[in-house]
Amino acid sequence: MAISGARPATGIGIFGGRPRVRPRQVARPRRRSGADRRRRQMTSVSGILVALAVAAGLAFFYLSQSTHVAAIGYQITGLEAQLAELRAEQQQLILQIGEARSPAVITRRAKYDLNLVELPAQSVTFAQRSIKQP
Amino acid sequence: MLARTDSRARALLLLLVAALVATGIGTRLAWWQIVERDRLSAMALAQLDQTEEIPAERGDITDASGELLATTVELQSIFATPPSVDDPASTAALLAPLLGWDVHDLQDTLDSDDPWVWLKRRVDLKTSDAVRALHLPGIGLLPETKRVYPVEGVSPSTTLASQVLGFVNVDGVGQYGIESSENALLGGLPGSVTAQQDVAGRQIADSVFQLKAPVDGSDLKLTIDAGLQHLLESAMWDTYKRNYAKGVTGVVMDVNTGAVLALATFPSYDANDYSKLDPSLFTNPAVSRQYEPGSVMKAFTIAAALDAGAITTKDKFRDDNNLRLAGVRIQNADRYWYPNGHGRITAGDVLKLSNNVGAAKIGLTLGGPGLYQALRRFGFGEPTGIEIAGEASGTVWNPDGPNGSGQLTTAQNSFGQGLAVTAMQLVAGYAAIGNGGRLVTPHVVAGWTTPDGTYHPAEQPEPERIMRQQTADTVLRLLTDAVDFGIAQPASIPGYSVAGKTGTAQIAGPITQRVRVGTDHKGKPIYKKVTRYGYIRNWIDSSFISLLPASDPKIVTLILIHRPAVWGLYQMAQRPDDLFRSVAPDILSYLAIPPDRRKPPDGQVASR
Repeated sequence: MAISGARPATGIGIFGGRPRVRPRQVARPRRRSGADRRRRQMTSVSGILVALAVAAGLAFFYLSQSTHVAAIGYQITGLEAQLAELRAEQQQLILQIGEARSPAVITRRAKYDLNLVELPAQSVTFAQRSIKQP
Repeated sequence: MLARTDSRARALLLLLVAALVATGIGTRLAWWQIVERDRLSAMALAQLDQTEEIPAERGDITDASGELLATTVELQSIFATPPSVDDPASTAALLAPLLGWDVHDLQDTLDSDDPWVWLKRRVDLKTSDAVRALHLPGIGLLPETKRVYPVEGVSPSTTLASQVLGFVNVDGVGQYGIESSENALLGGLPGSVTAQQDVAGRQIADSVFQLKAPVDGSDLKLTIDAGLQHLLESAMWDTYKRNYAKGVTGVVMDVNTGAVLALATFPSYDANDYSKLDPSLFTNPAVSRQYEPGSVMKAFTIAAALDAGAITTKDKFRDDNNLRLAGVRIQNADRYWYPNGHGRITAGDVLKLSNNVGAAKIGLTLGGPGLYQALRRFGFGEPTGIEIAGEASGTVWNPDGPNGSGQLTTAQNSFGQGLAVTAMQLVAGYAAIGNGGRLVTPHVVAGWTTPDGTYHPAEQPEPERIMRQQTADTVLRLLTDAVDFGIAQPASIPGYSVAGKTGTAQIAGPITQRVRVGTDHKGKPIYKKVTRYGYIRNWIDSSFISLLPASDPKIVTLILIHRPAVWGLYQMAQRPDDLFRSVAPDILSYLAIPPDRRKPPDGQVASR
């Protein structure tokens, strides 16, 4: 038995079909026009599209950032390896300096390369203090 | 031909099977995703996660003026993965000369089924560059750290102050010397990182989720001066060779602070290449070798007796070169020239003549317990506390103790026989005479710099007063007279006053002798080999210890020659006082200690 003053809906509102008509006994000040309905439909569709676009944008941004971070990470690893190599070279240079500053090496060079002779300890003269210190 | 109803039934059956399969898969997925989630996640992460130790950087060791004595460098170690080696024969031919391998041995190694093998660890830069340039399949390089000691020593194949520094083993742990005793300070604390790795084994940068940063070791600054160390090592190496000695020890220490400025010992070693050496070389004899010091102990006997008020410098003691105690006859070293002794002598004469009988009588006047306690106050019988690993305590016998022999032990303690000391104990004891009576703690660590750059000077215990200032000054004067007018006169130096004492002591050990035990039936004597413990003929420790300059001592020096080749009555190629005379002016000049004498003391006979 049909309900007086009402009709069953034939589809989902936004995809067409007739909108549900409220029962006559509910008092409405004014019935919506067709233009209003189309505007509402358009607003709903564009909102969803914007949301989808934003979600896609965010996903793309996340992916690009992740890739970028990973790439930076590999760059850092490479730079760390380069730094380690440079540090190793620096250590070698410090070692060579230490070797070259050995008293034994200096003595040998002074004696045999520069033909220097040792100064007898007795020939060292200590200067007298000119002012008496407290 | 199937009817319509058959088709429906079949479709229904297929639907049922598909539903069952889907339900099964769904259930299994739910099981893995929900029930087993935590366990499976942990398993997956465990496959990705790798925890690696981050080694702490070991601190450097420098001398007092900042010269580098020990540091750590990164070197390459060469390994092979034999299954990946294309041509073992040609690879071996190329690598063997670079790595010092025998070609056939290397080829056998590269032909083996081992998945991975070290070929040579920690090679020098030149070798690693050469190996890398060959681009050999199956041959790789891995960085490893190595402790290096850059300062060359005086003798061939040695490094400077190696027995002071010690070395670091392949596991990065300090062995012997400062490297061992200060290992915790130098080594720091390793850290760790837990991170995910990609298929190539590289860390995924943004995956690090647990990092424990390593705490690097501190840099250590020593009191040793590399220049002075070189100077002393040169002199000690020279006398080591000239005397054909078993070992030599030389020490220069600040009398007021206890800072060891130079410590030279031979035989020595190369701390960069220690693996094939006799481990007995690694200990530092200045702190670990105990020996009977001989006459250098007489100064302590006199100091103890003077400080206790048992004697004065004017008291005289009869020396007849014949003191019998517990059946043992005590004589003087100059008994062949003075068989009846020197008559009545003072404490000063005891030091000038190095008189055993006089020293024994002073010790007996003070009394055994008094002398024993005084020697313990001087630091004998316990380690000095120096930071070098392996320090011995020495032995002083209590005359009234279970191992004591009453008066005989007291007499032996008086002139330095029958007890054992270390060179460092002697130096510390003489420093107390030189600084007015305070026992300082010998030390080689001046301070350390933490990784944040803060320098911490090493704190030393407050020196303990062990005798009155007046006593120390008196003994210092007597020791000065011993060099100016006594048998130590060869040690006198032009322009400087020297307080010092010689010491020669025989070395005890097992002696095997043929002893006649009887006669056979024909009357021929029967001999038997008997081993007893006693002083070994011509085995001596000869030393000279000094305080410089005697008018206001700044340094104490010790020269000790262990088992030199001797002839006659302990004649040597170079005596310690001779060596002192040649090296002391250089030491004083190096330390800028000005002369304190314009002319020799009145009454001194020119020694040489």
